[in-house]
Amino acid sequence: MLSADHIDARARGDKLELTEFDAKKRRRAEALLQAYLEQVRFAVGGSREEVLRAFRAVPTTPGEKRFAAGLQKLVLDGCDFEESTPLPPATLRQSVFLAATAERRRLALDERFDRNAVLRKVAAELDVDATKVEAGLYADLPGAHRLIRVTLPEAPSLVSRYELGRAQAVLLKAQDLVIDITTRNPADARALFRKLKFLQLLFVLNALPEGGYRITVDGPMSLFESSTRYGLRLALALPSIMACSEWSVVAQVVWGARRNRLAFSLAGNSRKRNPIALDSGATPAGESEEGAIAQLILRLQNLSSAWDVRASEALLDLPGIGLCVPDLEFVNRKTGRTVYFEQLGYWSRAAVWKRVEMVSAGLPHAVVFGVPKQLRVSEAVLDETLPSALYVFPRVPSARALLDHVEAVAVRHQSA
Amino acid sequence: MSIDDNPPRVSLRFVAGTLEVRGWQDAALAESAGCVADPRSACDRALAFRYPDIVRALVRKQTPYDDGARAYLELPTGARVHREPRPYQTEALAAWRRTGRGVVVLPTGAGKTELAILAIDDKRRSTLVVAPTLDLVRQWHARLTTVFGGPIGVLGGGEHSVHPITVTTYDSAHIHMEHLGARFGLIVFDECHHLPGESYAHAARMAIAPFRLGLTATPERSDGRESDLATLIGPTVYRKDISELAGEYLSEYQTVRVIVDLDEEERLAYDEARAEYVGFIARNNIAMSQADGWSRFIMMASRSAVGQQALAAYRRQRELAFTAPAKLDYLEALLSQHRDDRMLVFTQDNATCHRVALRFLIPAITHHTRVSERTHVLEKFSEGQYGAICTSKVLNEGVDLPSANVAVVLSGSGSVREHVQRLGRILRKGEGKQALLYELITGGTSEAGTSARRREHEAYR
Repeated sequence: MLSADHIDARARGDKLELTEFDAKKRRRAEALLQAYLEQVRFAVGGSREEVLRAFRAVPTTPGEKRFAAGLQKLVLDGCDFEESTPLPPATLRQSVFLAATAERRRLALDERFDRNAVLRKVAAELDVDATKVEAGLYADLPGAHRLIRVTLPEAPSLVSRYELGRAQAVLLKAQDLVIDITTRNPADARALFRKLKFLQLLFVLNALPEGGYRITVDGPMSLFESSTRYGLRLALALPSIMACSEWSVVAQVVWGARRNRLAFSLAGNSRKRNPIALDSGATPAGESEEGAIAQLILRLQNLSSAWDVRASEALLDLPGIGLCVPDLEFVNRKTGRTVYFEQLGYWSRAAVWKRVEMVSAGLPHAVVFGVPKQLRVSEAVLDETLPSALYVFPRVPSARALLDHVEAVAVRHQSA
Repeated sequence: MSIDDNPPRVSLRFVAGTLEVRGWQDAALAESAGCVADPRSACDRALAFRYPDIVRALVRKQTPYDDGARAYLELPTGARVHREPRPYQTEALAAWRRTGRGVVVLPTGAGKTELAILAIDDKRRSTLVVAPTLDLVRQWHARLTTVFGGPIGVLGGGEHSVHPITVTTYDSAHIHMEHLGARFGLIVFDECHHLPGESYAHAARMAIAPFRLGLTATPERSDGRESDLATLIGPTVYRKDISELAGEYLSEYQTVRVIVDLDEEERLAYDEARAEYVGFIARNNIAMSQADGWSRFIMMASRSAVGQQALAAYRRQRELAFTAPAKLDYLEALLSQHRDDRMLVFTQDNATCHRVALRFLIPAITHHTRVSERTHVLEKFSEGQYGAICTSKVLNEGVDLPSANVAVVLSGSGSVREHVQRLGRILRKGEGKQALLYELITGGTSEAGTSARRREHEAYR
């Protein structure tokens, strides 16, 4: 997600406005994104530092600093980097530093420490060139990580993602939201309420005289102190708001070093083109997530198993602890036993810990929580005696591995 | 819990760092205990840290209540290892016990961890220890496991195990307190001067813990928000400074200021870069001494090519002062002179730290260093197989390095607290130990003023 450092916005009186994103700016964004995409595609195999240097070589004006930083962030978000060195740097450091300490202690006070001699000695022990030892010493720092894969759409789609990201970056600094939905479609409102509840936001709902609803959204602590604590959740709610037929949002945001309190407004209509293009999870009302879930169902149905699988409508609530909204329901054709699957997003490790907390506190359902590998959480975090499990997947959940987890959880839930 | 057999009228429930209070008819009393009507949930709501006020008010009026909030336990057993406390630790515990809330100020090396252990053993409630870094979390975990037996929980650094005694970082506490805030009766805030920050203070407000202990050597903050500690933890109940304990309970120490010079070419480059940077801030009426000076400089610098050159000039002159070649030459001599000692080299930033590590082939510890490697480096340092470690800020506070006896401040901020903490790293008492702190300053640069600011403390007089 973009942050305030990646966007240009200015205060006008007591309002905050994003700088205009007109056709000219859009073309400029597309051109820069195209250049950055070419750079990263060319740089596969190179280091992160080299990628950043290549970005800096793309000419921009001083006034485009944040704009370019935001676009670069979007591109970097689609790049996978990993450590790639022939000599494990930590082991190498250990050998070199121990040898250097011993050498320094061997010398008399008037003798000069020769670092190159130490590097040569360690290189000889490892049977490699001394320059490789020096180059490999800190090859595990982030700047030295190698670009191994680029998974990005073309520039026009990234421009749309940038537009959504600009609005979400502002909402990260929001204290609350007032949402007006002038919709006649109850499914819109239901989906939105479900999302707000899922995000553990509190809301007050009022009917608008002209039809539709006004929803005031904040969090439990907001009653006592204005804070941006719920900003991330408010930003995550934006795509669901934008999925409604007609909507507007006013957010109170705390902006800039002086922490000015300003009003930020957005409005849209999903039947027309929204002011913020909706290529990346905005119009879709989680379309991309739902599309991925639909594909997962198809893959699961193609496997032979004892389970029927369908999209879930359930809300699993553990009063006082939390709520989870599963994506799939597996029902065993023989026993009738149900196991839920909830796929978690890649943006929040806290969401995983929350689920762990719920299971530990006695969530009375069998649930497999799908956790993206990027979150660096081990499946062992949930004890095997508990009736739910984590399934850590690399990029996309595997249908077979998911079924294995469902089977295991069903057994655990029965014996728990 | 209900205090009589009548059906409870008032109910308390912990929800996301707040208390939902239902059925309390005495609105004035509820308000005085911190409750506010919440139309969103049709209840009264209070910040979780008002829990003791609410319970006291209910008990005082003999109002029956159902406490669905409290989820902390009484520990079945206490400490299984007991050390004879030092006299000032006994005094500090007695001062804290009067209310079970408050801050104890003791210098580094004076045994703040031992004081916390005494407090946990005294109260015997589920306890959360909050520390600023993962190194400290690991250190607390090891000590608490030895004293209380396992399992001790850890939150942070990829671990998530919650037990009646748990250790976490301020970052993790901020994230998790909204669902763990009812599970601890005592919270120990280690290096509690971190707590009054905008985000971390939430962690203290979202917890119901009636007992709270803050530990620090340096409560003072540059933003003056140390006064918030009184609300978040309690008042300062006990204080001893370095000068009161040096010799008997801390090592004797000396501080040595070393001024090095830039050579002619470096001086020219420094003066040129400095003039460009100072000229820019003067032309734009930016007062760097003001709270928003730095952010105004960055904002103005981003708007023009001249501004970006001024920013580059700022970085150039700073680098020349912080890593003057003469400083590095002097460091080389110190590494040789103290090759049989245990030296900590402190830098202002990670880039310099890695530069020093590469040039002198000594291990570096920064926030990039993985836990396994940190453990290895600290163990080898303690055993004497490494004679020096370079670090930027992560070893500034808390981490116990009893064998360290020499510190070299190669570069640093103007913060008094940082400088006192760095000195504190070498003060742990040892047989015949004489600690030595070198401060290397590039003469005729802005670093001289920075050094003067950070030395404004009793410990340097």
